[in-house]
Amino acid sequence: MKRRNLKRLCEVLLVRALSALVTVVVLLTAVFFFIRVLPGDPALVLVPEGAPESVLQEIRSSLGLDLPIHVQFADFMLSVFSGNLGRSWNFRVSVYALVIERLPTTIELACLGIVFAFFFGVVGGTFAAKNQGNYKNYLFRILTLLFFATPVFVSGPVLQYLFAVRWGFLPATGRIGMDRGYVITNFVPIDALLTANLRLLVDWSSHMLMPSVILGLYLSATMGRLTIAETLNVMKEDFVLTAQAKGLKDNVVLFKHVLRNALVPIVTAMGFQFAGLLSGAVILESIFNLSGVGSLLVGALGTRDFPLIQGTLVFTIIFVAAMSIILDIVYALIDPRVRR
Amino acid sequence: MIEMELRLSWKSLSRRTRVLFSIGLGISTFFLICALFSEWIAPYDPYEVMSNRRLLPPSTEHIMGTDGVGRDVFSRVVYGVRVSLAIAGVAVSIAGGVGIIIGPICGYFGGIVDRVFSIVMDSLHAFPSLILALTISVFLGPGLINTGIAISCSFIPFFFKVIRSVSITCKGKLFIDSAMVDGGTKLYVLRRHVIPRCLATTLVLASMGIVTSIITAASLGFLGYGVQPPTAEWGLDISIARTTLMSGIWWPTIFPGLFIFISICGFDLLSTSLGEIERKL
Repeated sequence: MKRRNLKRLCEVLLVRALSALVTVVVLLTAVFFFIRVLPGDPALVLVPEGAPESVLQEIRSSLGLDLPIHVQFADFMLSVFSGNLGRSWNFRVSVYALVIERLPTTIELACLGIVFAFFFGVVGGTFAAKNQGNYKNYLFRILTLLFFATPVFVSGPVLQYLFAVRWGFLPATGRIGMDRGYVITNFVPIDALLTANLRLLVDWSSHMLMPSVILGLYLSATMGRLTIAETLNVMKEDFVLTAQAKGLKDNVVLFKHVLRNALVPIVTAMGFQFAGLLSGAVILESIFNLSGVGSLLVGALGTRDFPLIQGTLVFTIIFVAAMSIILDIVYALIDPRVRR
Repeated sequence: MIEMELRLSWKSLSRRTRVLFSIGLGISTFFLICALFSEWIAPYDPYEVMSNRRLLPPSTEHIMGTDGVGRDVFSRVVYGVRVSLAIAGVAVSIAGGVGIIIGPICGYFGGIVDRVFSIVMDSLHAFPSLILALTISVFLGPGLINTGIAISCSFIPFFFKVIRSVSITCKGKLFIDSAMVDGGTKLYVLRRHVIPRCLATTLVLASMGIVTSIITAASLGFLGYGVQPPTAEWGLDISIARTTLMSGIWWPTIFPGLFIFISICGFDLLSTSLGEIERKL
């Protein structure tokens, strides 16, 4: 890569990072107001019913809820950016530690999900577009509708019953079923590779296979549709005809010329898919008993654990923003026009 | 509206669109009928507990069997249509109403308000919609209307973005200019020309919104934060039936799941074909 290109790439990334920061700040503000403006008094959660007003007042002042709203807002922003998210009321440990402990599971699920979604959706969609008008195309279109219309909370329990309970191929719940051994990072596959622990890797894969395939198939529906549309658009272009006229093999034209150009809008759409990915992860984590951030949030909402709710939402926001920046890098890598 | 000549006719649509539209409309009508006439369609009271008829497999008496406490699954599923569509109706009308007012105002007038709204809506759109709906519904409290409101909040950013972009395309159009030349104020043009032009898009968005709303409402019910028991709601019923599923009793899970599946297919076909029709306008 030429130096000038690299400089341009850095500029693009800087601009994108700034806009991601704006997104983060706006969403943090939204979280702050949601939690404070929406009904549901935190003080009422902490005390038994029928407690005198003086006790409630005391709790409100100890939580800083009696301060003016702009002071609370400044406190909130400061604490978020200094990484201090308070202590969970329920678990009685720091929210930050809790989320960091749970985050790897969600990231593993999300990454596997996106890989499967990419494989089924984009690769399958490209082949479907190539077979425009014949039964393979219709089969793919019907399959995408099928995957789209089956919510994960239906396919999840059903597959769980079939594969785990009935046939016993795969473990029903959890992330790993054995002792992890030496913990280096919080990510099981990385640990397994670093310690050359093949059994751990297999065990982890067998646990994660079902939830991630379900997540992947669900997402692949939207991606498949988009891929067909975009691929068909690119196929009309002159350079595809040129490539075919040069005598290149069909699949080379399809993947190197057509798909590479079609990928740009697909990757853009994938950015929004990450949000859908997290939504799906929330449900799948609770079905498959994976202790990730999603199930942490669901539990925290149930117990009205305000610092924890706030903390998981803050992490979700940062996760989404980080993903959008990563996607921009991918974007620049697949499309040289962005760099120029 | 005289200037918008309707170039659309049934014959001008492609065969594919016609087929998809017919199937979608058929399925949607079926669900609408289910929702309106639940009392007549359901053979049993969905809340009636028949303790001597627990977990009966599908038979002529209970065509979808009975659930863990002895309630008729078919009746619950039929009443579930009403709950799902009611939530979807609330969510879509709020989001559509907000979108069709704020979207054109921002898109047509532009300026600082537009910039601020766009940034806020873009940010909210990047946030996982289910988590947004989940959090809001927990704070609003359970119930049908509150669930609808919570889901509508997760739609508004998307509705706003699309409707705004449609109203921006109005800016250079001749009929807008001519209305201005005729002496119409900006507000008049907005009300009489820009907003009506966004109506078709809003309709398509609403049909897409119904699909998402059905999934989201059932997801919230499944997680236990939407409609509360004993209301007949698909997601809620599936989450309850999940424990019995593990011992091989499939009917209380599969049939609500099947109804979710068919309703999503139907409304999705409808919204896809409506989108294709709208592009022809």
